[in-house]
This record gives sequence, C-alpha cells and structure tokens, in this order.
Amino acid sequence: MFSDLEVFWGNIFNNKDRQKKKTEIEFLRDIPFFSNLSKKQVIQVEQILHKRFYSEGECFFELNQPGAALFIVESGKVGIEIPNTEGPPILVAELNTGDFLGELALLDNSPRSATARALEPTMAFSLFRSDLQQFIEVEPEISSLIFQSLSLFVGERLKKTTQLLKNCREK
Amino acid sequence: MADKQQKLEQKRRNVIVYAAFSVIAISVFLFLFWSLRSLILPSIIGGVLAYLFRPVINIVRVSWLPHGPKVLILFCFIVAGLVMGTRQIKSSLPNEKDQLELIVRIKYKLNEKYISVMGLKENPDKGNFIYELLKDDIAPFKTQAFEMLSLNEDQKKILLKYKEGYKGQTFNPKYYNYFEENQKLLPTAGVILEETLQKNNKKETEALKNADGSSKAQNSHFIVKILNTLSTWFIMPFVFIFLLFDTGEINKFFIRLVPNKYFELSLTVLNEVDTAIGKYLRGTLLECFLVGLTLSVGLIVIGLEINVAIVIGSIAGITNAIPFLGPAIGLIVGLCYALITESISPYLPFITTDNLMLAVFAVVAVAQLLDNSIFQPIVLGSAVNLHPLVVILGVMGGSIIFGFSGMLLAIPSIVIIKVIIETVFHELKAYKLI
Repeated sequence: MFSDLEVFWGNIFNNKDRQKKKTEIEFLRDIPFFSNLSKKQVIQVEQILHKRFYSEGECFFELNQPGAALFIVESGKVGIEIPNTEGPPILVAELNTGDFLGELALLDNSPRSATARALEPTMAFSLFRSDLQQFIEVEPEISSLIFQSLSLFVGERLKKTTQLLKNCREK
Repeated sequence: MADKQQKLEQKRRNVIVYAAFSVIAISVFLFLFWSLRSLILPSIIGGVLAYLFRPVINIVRVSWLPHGPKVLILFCFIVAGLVMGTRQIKSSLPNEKDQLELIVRIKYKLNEKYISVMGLKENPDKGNFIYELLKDDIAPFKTQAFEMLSLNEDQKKILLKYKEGYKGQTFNPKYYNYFEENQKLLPTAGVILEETLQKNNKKETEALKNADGSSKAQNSHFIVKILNTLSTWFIMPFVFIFLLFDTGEINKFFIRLVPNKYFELSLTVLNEVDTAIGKYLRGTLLECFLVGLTLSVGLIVIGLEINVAIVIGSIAGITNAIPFLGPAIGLIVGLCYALITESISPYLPFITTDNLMLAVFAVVAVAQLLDNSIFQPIVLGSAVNLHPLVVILGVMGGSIIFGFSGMLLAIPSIVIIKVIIETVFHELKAYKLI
C-alpha cells in the first residue's frame, strides 16, 4: 500500500531527482568546506552550485586565465599542473573526491596560478564568485560562514607553503 | 589509414547532422516567433518587471517565509498598487461632460491665443508682422486642428442635453458661450466637417443594416476578439510570477548546455551583463520617477491642481524613457493644459494665466536640466553611452515595428544588445579565446 503511494507521488514529484539531490546534499555536508553549515543551510547553498562533468584530459581552467569559480570534486581525480616548455607539464598535486580547487577565485578575478585537468572522468560542483557575492545580500549568515571556512583554508595552505619554503631553505 | 578515413567520415556526418538540425531549429524558431508575435510584448514586459522586482524579493529577509509565498505576496502588493493607481488616474480623467467641456475650451482658447499672438484683435484684417510672415504656412495646420476639435452631431446633441441638465450634471454656461463662439469659427472647416459627418452617417446606416442580419456572428466575433487580447496579456502575470519563482534553475539549465571550456567564461559574461542591464533598467526607472516627481512638484508650484499635476507628471515620467521625444510629449501635454486653464493658485506671485504657458515651459526645462545634469549622471552614470544617431534611429525603428511600445522599449533593447556584445568580446579576450 505504502509502496504504491510512494510510486504514485514519486511519479508526480519526481522522486528519482529528489533522491539524487538528497545524496548530493549528504555529500556536500561531509565536505570540510561546508562543515560549519547546518543541513538547511547546505540545501540553500546547493541551489547556487553548478554540477559539471569533465572527461579525462579536459581542463577545469588554465594557467593565467581569470578565476571565476571554486570547484569541489564529487567523484574522479583532478591534476594540478604547471605547463613546462621543455617537456610534459609538471604535476603539482592530485585531488580526489571531497577536495576543492580554485578557492582564491572566490575572492577576486586574479589569474589562475596553475592548470587543473581531469585525470579521469570527473564530476564536480562549482561555486561562482558572483553567486556567492549575491548570496551575501540574501543569506548573510551562510555567506559569512563560507567565507570563514575559506579564510581558514587559505590560512592553512599559507602556513603549509611557508613551512615548505622553510624546509627547502634548510636543505 | 582506415581509422583516419573513418574519423573523416564521422566528422562529415557530424557536420551534416548539425547543419540539418540547425536549419530545422532556426526555421521552427522563426515560424514560432512570427506566429506567436502577439505574445512577445506581454512576455517581455512580464520578464522586465520580474527582473526589476527581483531585488525586492532578496531585500525582504523573513527567514520563516519560503520563497514561493514571498513572490505571491509581492504579486498581490503590485496588483493592489496597480488597481489603486488605475482608480486614482481614472478619477482624475474627465468624464463625458468634462471631455466635451475640455474640447470646447481647447478650441476656444486655441483661437483666442492665435488671435492675440497674430495681433488679429487690434487689426482683424492685417494682423501683425508674425501674421504677415506665417499666415499661409499656419493656415492649413489651424484648419486641421480646428477640424479635429470640432464636435460631431452626436456630441453636439449630448452637449445640449447637458446644458439642460443630464445625468445630474449641467454644462458650464461659460463654456456653452465658448461653444457658441466656436460655432462661428471657420465656415469652410465646418462645411468639410458636415461632409465627413454625412459620409460617416451613411457608413453607419449601412453598417447597421448589415449588422441586423449578422448581429449574432458579430457578437461572437467581438467576444473572440476580446478573449484573444485578454489571453495574450494573460501571459504577463504568469511570466512575472514564474520568473520570480525561479531560484536560478533557468540559468542553470542554459549553463548546463555550455561546453566546459566556456563554462567560467559564460558565467562571467552572464553576471556582467546581468549587473549592467540591471543597473541600467533600475536606473532608468528611477530617473523616470524623479523626472515625473520634479515635473509634478513644479506644476503644483506654478499653480496647477494637484490631480492634474500628478497626471501630467506621470505621463512625462513614463515617456521620459523615450529620448528626445519623451520630454516633448510632457511639454505638449503641459502646454495644452496651460492653454485651457481658467484659474490657477500659484505659489509664485508673478505667475498668471497669461504667462502660464511660459511657466510650464520653464518647469519642463528645469526638469530636463536637472535630469541631464543631476539625475542621469548620478543614477545611470556613464555606463551605457549611446551615440545620439543610434538613439534617434532606434526610437524611429522601434516605433515603425512595434508602435508606441516599440518606441518605449527600443533604447533598453539596444542597450542590452550593446552590453552583451561588449562583455562577450571583453571576456573572450580576457580568457585568451580570441
């Protein structure tokens, strides 16, 4: 009886899409970037995210292009590389499910510092700078939490880079 | 080698399929565009209104109220505002008797001004030097204007009814004297008018004869016509509501169709275009409102009735969106009223009914001066500059294609196209795609 009802209402309200959205929201909630947001707040953020599929070898963005969006890897693998005039590009980092890239684009449109390429078929969410800026007016609390997360991660990465530089000098 | 051949074959098939699909899609689009052209204007107006009111939805921060009900409440407010505004305007508009009085007064005053400007009072045959210089050029315009302002037989009958007292109203005796004076004017024009009246009457009787047989068919045709007009404008509130209901899904759908290579570029272009157009449209709306307000206040200061000043201010404000022509429309309406007004209560002592037209001209000039030197630079900035020739051609082209609404929407449309082209090229260069 209940399953019949579920099928009936499911046909009307597109249950499949709902289920898919539910999984996506669960995924986003597990990401450290949105960890300080409640479920309701993540649902609101999901409305301004774009979902994209990248085939193997396809670029997310290229070095020196103006940055406009942050990407969150939902599945697949992304390589961060720097072009090399003498040979193949130098792979700097590999990002997997739950990692994010291009976070500085949320602050300004300064040029990208590296190229990001899908190393295998990859599904990713993207958060556009202007959407986030407009979101400040609509949902200031959520936006401030996102910017708080962003500053923490940027600070963390800065610390890591400083440590790396220090290690290099000591060597 | 065979692989290469196969790829080439595939590429050729791709070109054929895409070309065929594009041709079919464009043909279907053009066919639908032409067939449904009556829906274009209501949809555009609904869309523009939704676009203008989107920030209002965002400003209202009521956390417990979901987006849908927020939109519906806003819609109810707008409808209520429109109904109240229409009632206010309707009450300010003249009724049947007032309309007749207005026509009689305009014709009488027009003649009076003509006589005084041309110096025909002192010297009825020769007039002054202006009369000598312009009489041949002005005569046809005068005849045409007086013909337009002549009452037809039905109107004359109704006027006489009002003179005796009709529907609880009586025609002002002073204006009846004007009417009698008007009757003595331009005998030739009167003859022409009589002829046209006779022709019209003949046509009407013929039409009535025909109508007797097919009154039912005509009635149903009339109903269908009304329903058709209603149904095309019915789409406007739907477009408005559904565009405001949308929380970015339409945008996302179109972005999904864009290849990954152009993803960031298209998002940037959309945002830049949205910002520029939003600023322009909201700026223009605010500018029109400010011009209307300045004009209304100015007209009240020079002694016009508040109701009349608001109506003239509103007309001038709305038409201000049409460059060059808008201010002229405001001026003409203001001058027409100044021409017929009998008494004023000005806040400035030196303004009388004799120099009222000059005062209206000064108010319109001040409003335009303020618009060009303060409102436009502050509200619109120099973001969207169009060459005056483009503006004139745009307004004329718009009026030829879509009439008055085309005239009103021509410049915003040109601005939108200009902003899109500029932004696309700027971003294509920034992303090193061209």
